[in-house]
Amino acid sequence: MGKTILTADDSASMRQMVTFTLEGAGYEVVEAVDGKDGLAKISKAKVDMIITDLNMPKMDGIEMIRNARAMPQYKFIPIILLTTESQDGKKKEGRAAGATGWITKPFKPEQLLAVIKKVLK
Amino acid sequence: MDLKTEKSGSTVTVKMGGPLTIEHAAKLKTFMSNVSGDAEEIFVDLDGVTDIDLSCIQLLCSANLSFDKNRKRLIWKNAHTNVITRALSEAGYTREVVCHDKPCKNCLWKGDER
Amino acid sequence: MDVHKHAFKEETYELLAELETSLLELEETPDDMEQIGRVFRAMHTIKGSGAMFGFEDIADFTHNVETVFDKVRGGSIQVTRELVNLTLAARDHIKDLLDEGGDADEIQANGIIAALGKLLVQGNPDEAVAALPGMTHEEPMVPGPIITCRIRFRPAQDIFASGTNPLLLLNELREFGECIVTAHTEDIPPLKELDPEACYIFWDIILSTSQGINAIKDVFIFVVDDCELTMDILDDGERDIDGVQPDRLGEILVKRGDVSDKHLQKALETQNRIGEILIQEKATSRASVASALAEQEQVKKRIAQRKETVVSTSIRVPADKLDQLVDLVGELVTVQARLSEKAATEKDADLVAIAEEVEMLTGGLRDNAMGIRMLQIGTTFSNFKRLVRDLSNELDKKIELTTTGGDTELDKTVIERLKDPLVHIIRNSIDHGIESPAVRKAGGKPETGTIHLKAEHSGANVLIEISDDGKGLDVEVIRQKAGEKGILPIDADLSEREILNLIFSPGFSTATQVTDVSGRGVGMDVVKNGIEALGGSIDLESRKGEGTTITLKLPLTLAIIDGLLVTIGGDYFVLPLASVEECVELPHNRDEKKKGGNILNVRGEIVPFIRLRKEYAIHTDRPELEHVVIMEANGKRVGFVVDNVIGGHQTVIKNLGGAFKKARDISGATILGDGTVALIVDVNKILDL
Repeated sequence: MGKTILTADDSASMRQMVTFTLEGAGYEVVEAVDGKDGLAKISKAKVDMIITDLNMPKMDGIEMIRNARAMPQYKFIPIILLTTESQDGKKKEGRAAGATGWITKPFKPEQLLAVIKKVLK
Repeated sequence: MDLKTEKSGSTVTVKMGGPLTIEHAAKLKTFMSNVSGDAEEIFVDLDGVTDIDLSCIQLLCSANLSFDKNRKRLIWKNAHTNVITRALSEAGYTREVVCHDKPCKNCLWKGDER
Repeated sequence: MDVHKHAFKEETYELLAELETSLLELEETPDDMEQIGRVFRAMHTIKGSGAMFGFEDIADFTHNVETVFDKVRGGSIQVTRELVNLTLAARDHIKDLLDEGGDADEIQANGIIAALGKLLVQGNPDEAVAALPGMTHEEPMVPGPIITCRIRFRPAQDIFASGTNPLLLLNELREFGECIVTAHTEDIPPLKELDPEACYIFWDIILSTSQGINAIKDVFIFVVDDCELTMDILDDGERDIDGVQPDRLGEILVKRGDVSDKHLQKALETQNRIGEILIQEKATSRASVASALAEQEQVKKRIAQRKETVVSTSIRVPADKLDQLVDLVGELVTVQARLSEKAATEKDADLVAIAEEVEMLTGGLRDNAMGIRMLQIGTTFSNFKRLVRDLSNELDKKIELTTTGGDTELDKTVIERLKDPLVHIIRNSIDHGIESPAVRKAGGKPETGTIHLKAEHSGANVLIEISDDGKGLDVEVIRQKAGEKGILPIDADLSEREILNLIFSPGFSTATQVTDVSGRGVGMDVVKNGIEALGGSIDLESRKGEGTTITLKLPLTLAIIDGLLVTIGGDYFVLPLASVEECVELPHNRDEKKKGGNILNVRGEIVPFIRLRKEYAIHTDRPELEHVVIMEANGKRVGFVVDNVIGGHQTVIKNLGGAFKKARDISGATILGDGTVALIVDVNKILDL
């Protein structure tokens, strides 16, 4: 059974790239445009993993991770934060909020898949 | 995760099935803490287990240790399915190394011999 | 990827349009945090996505604006008309970069960046420099040497709550190379105290990989801040491996901090299986010992593999190509000799100079070609370890094989043909030399016997010594045996050394019982023949009760020897120079029919001599003055009478071919400078005949 991954990003091109990469690797993808949208989507149907951008309108990535971890079904799933190099401090903040790891932008599709392999069985 | 218990005399048989993963770890702990009652022999059949992660591996290990301490016999059945063997090997359990300094009598890693 | 590029462009145009609106609004209400956030996010997205989809120029440029707006967001930079103007200019520049064929003005861009930089300095001078780094790009991966390291990974108890599955990390390590993972389960508490969502297990990992230490660290990148992670390099794959031994079990445990030095010393005193004792003493856990053993094993293996790779970094060349090369070099040496000879007779200074240069170069080429054929004898030596181990087990003996000089080089043919004689000698040592542990103990010797193989250079020869500390040979027994077998008269007057060397006589075997090990119907005479066929010699020394040493003297190479050129009745012969001791004149007018007629007194020492003229049936008249070449063969000094000694000659050996197989006293032929053939005298064979 394929695993489902939520990708939350306010950039349509980023979402497209992530979705394209993940679907190519056999995952099912649910897209969300910001943290709030993401939380709504994962409440409706269970996902196996979350990949979220850091800076998003309405609700940012860290806030979304905090909220997701508070939901019992998402206590232990892997959550990956997308950050940029100038946001090194955010990695720690994200980790404290419950992120499993992070990917630094820019990244190549294979790097994204490598990180997923690292955290998702 | 499903857990089925059958009791007959002083023997309890537990059939474990589905994924033994962290989401179910708390439930599994409660179950294992109370399963024996006054029974002296507990058979645990792992045949139906479809997945086992680190949390539940160490939980079974812990259960074994507790039963040993309480002088109850814990006997594993079908502990050598592909799922279990693979998970144990991934977790770095080697056959030469048993759990504790004083290994449990029926160490899971040694399998289901009686 | 083009489809993504297209999507990025469309999105960025949209963002740039929004950006313009936001900036204009911001000019009206400079404190509008929502607008500030929007500008930042737009810049952030353009930067992040730009880098993703191959618009590095846009990403690099936008990064500067983003950095400034991050500060604005943080309140350390105020929104001013100047900032809005700059940002609008930046927005236009981004649009220019995005437009296909757009004329982006680099000078203008640099002006914007400089101005933004100034703002940053005003905002926070300390951070300004750090805040504007260029985008760093990945460095290409270069596979390094294979390192072996020990990793102790103890995750934080709450690791599961971060969504991390440690098993996946372990699996990632396994993909790096050979990986031995040992779980430590001793911290798992009984159910009552167990937090089912905490992690109690930790691991020792021994990993051999070419990925480099940073790649290993990257595996733990997400968890490194909240776990206990130690990494020790056991073998960096580069350090000299000769003599590197894996640590002993106890040392490993102490180095890892799993056992205290005090505990180790105590356990060592009991002289038992150290791991078991430490576990019993509760000085360490079973897992620690298992992992330490795994480490030991792995390091051992790596060292062995590295040694193999060291050998295999060379190029493999078919042996016959090498033989051909040596043949050609041999021909060249011959031609060069002719040239030198010609130059000498022509007395032409130029020609002599050229001839000398050619001689030097040819010599270099010859040494080089021979060098290529040279192999270290160490490989052969280590093959015997197995032989000694297996045979001593079979015979319930304890024997250790030690070697020195394994790096001594010998011609590959010599090494190949040396193997059988060596096997035979070592078998003999194990079977007849080294005593059983009980006998050794009773005799006050260590229970474990030692066979030592030693190789060393000695001029143009290599000496190989095989010595054991066994019971030695009994001179009396050999004398008696030799008498019984009719090898020598019972009352023959021989030195101890000569008697000992009788064991090389055909048909001699001192073992009263034929055993599986050495009794294969092959006596030491075969060994001797084998060594002599290589142009070598064999010698034996032994002391009863103390051991035996057999020394093989072998030429470095079979293809070229240094010879002494002599003539007999107009024919040329070559004697191996290595065994020549001196040349003396034969006093004439001797009556050789008299007793002792073929004995020579050389400075008080009696030396028998042989007339090669007679040996080779040369029926010309003897010259007035004859010469005797005194040679050492089979441990004895023998003189060979020849007509004339011409001098040293570097001899390229040519085989005589099958037709002359029966000419046993000739080991080959060589071609002289003028094309004359000279025969090479097989000194040892002549003495045997």
